[in-house]
Parts: sequence; structure tokens; C-alpha cells
Amino acid sequence: MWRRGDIAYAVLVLGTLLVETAALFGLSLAFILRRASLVSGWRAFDALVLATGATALVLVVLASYVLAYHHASELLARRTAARVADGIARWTGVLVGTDSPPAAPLSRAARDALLALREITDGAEGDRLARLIVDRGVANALLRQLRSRRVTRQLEALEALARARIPCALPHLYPLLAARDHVTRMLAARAAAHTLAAMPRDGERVTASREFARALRGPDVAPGVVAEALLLSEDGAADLIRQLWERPRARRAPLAASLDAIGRLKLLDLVALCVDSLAEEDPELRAAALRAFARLGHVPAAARAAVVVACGDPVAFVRVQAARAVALVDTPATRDALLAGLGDRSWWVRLAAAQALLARGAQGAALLRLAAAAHPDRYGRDMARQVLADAAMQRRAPRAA
Amino acid sequence: MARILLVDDDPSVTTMLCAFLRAAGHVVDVAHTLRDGRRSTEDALHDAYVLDLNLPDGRGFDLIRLLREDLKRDTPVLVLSGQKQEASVLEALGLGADDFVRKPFSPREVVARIGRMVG
Repeated sequence: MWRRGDIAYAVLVLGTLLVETAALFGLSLAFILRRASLVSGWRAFDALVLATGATALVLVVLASYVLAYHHASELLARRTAARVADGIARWTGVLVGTDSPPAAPLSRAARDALLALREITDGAEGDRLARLIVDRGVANALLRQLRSRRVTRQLEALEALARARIPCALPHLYPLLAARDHVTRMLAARAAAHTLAAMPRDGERVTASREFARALRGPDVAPGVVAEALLLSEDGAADLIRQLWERPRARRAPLAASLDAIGRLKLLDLVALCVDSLAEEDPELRAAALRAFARLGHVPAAARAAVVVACGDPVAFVRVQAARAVALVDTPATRDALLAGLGDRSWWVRLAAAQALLARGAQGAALLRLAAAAHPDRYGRDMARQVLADAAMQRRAPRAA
Repeated sequence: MARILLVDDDPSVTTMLCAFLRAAGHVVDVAHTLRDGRRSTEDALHDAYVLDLNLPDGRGFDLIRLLREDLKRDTPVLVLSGQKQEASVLEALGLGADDFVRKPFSPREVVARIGRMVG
């Protein structure tokens, strides 16, 4: 990726290297000829002076260029910032009614100022700025830029569209969710999610949400892209998740990402999806559902028995999540499940079970101390001791600080 | 009319809120850093604060602490932040902030909330 001034710098470096090479070649030749007594000592001395002078000149030119480049960059950045600040003041004047909007086509600074204001503004003023972005030709320019073959131009456009949050850009963003370049995919998901989150709850948003979910179901959309899209859609995430679970259901990866999003965004309305997922054949989905319970800090009554049963799941990473979730269930079976988890063959399950016991307050800690002394499994006793020691160290650390 | 101190490092936020608060008849002082915010707080009495949590030289929480714990002032504080985490909201309110508005925000809503706080 070439930045402004990089080409000039490359040409300058090449030129100076050529000059230096020629000087050193001339100097070597002069000394060889002197050695063969073909030229006088004074000639060789002249060549030495010339080569040294050329080296000094090269260094001066390079140093001057670097210093001038930095100075010019700083001046340019300062001037650009001042122009954008003027633009922000002008657009703010438009919002409060003391100024008229600049005519299209907008200068780069006016465009950046408009996008900067739109990024931080919601409500009636946010909608007005979004309309100005469309009316003043910024939206069309960004959508054209999105079709550029250069990835950097595409990324710039995606970043600007994430700030602009204009619904008319959504259909142009969906194909990029499956782009070859990872950063392009992520930025497209981000721009689409921000746009969806900013849309008012009306028919247009329902349609946009349906189309976004259809795009996220695509076979080439990576799980990370789905997760990013769901998390950034804010209150639009619930609709997206429901649509991913509609029949025919999406692939496993988007579904697992959606269960994670339920936990992270604390979408209690959708907790039934997690309950149902405990019976899924796919261990990734069972684990994601259990992880969601742990993040929500709540296991619904309908899932409690299944969460205890999951502590004996044949897949280790499901048992790890089950141990974390079962800590939230207050039944005698929980205690037995966690004590059994302490003797699990997987180190991670033993750790999760010990930490879950410790998280259950004074009673859990007492049980863990008991396990440290008398658990039938040697590795279970070791893990209980280790987790108790770690907890004691953590308690001491703030006091020492 | 109230005198309001606006502490935010983002010029687009300060320019826009200044314009809307001034249009509503308030006097607005602006600080772009925690240090400037502290200085303005110690130098003058304000009727309300609009405060960002992420400042280039520190966290907005420190200014709330200065107001509530050191200067013992009960001046209303509205926190304006891009942070989405529940923990940040709870920490700000726990330290004595009176209100919390997430970015992106409606400038009219912020002006209305400030009006209610100082009214």
C-alpha cells in the first residue's frame, strides 16, 4: 500500500543509491588503475574526494527529504483538521438553523465533517444528517468507491458507510460479507450492523433485517463475521437471531454465533432458543447454549435438569461450559455434578468445576476445601487445592497493592 | 440560563452540543482534556457538567470523583459516552453521576436532560 509521498521517496532512494554505486565504482576503478600504475596518485585522490562528496550529498538529500516530508505532513494534517472543524461548525449551523448546507459536490473536508457529525448523532438530527449525506451526493460517491478494485479504497468506503449509517447502502454491503479479504468482510458486517441498529423500528427495518439475515446465512460468510454483525446490531440483533433460526435453519456456525450473542447481549427474550439447543446433536451448539446461560447469569427452570445432565456430556468442551452454567443452578444435584466434575479426565473440566464451586459463596468454598482434603480422585484434590490457593493469592494481592 | 462545563475530546461533539446548548440559552465552557476539565472545575462554579468517560489524558470518572469527594459539590453530571458496557454506566452512576447518555445521541435529548437537571 503506497501512501502519499512514498513513490517520491522510493525514486529518491533509488537515485541516491545509483549515485552512490557509481561513486564507489569510480573510486574502486581509480584505485585499481593506480595500483597498476596506470594513473597518478593525484587522480586516485581526486576520485576519493569525489566519492566522499557524493556520499555526503546523498545523505544531505535524503535527510532533507525526510525532514521536509514530516514538516509538510504536519502542516497538511493541521490544515485538514482546521477545514474539517470549519465543516463541523457549518453543518452544526445547518442543524440549529443558522446556516445553509453547502452545495454538492462537497469538498473532502465538508464530507468528512458531515460523516463525523453523523457518527455521533441520533434522533431527528441524525436522520437529517443521513438525508444530507444522500442528497449531497456523498452516499453515491461512497457506493462508487465500494466498487473500486483497490482494497484500500473499498475499506475507506466501508469505514465511511459505517459512520454514515444510511439504509440505501445495505444491499451493496451484503455481497461483501463473503469477500475474499477478511478485513473487507468484517468492515462490511460492521457497516451493515451499525446501519441496521440506527434504523427506526418500522417496516423498512423489518425488511432490512430479513435481507441481512439472509446474507448472513450465506455459505461463504465466516462465523466471526456473523458474531460481529449480531453484536453490533444492538437492538436489531434479536430479529436477526430469530430469522437465523427460522426453518430451514442456518448453518451451524451462524447458529452458534447467535447463541453466543444471546448471552453477550443479555437477550432474555430469546433464552428459549438456548434451552432447546441443549438437545442439539451438534456439541458446538450445546456448548454455545450453556455458555449463553453463564453469560446471562441465569438458567431457566426448564433447562436446569438438562444443564446438570450436560455435566456428563461425552464432549469435554461441553462439560466445561456445563460446569460454568450449573453453578447458577441451586439444587443438590448441582453439588454432586460439580464434585464429579472435579474428578473429570479433562483438566479444563476439573478447573471449571472447581471455579464454579468457589463461585457458590461460603458453602461452595467449604465444599471445595473438603474436596481438597478428601476427594476420591487425586487430580480432583490437586485442582481443588490449586484453585483455593489462587483465590487466596488474589485476595492478598489488592491488600499488598 | 445555566453555566455548563462540557468535557469531551471529540470536536464534533463539543461543537454540536455547544451550538444546541447555546441555542437553548445556556453558557457553555469547553474542555478537551481531563486536565483542562479539572482546572475549569476548580476555577469556576458550573451549574451542570456534560462529561465524556474516555479522555486523552485520563478517565472522566476522575472528574466525577473530584467533584463529589474532594470538592463536595452536588452539581448535576450527565455522562455522555460511547461505552456500551453496563459496568461503565453502573460505575458512573455509582460515583455520583446523575444521568448517562450513550453515543450516538440526540442533541435535543441531551439539552432536554440538562434543562431538567438545572431547571
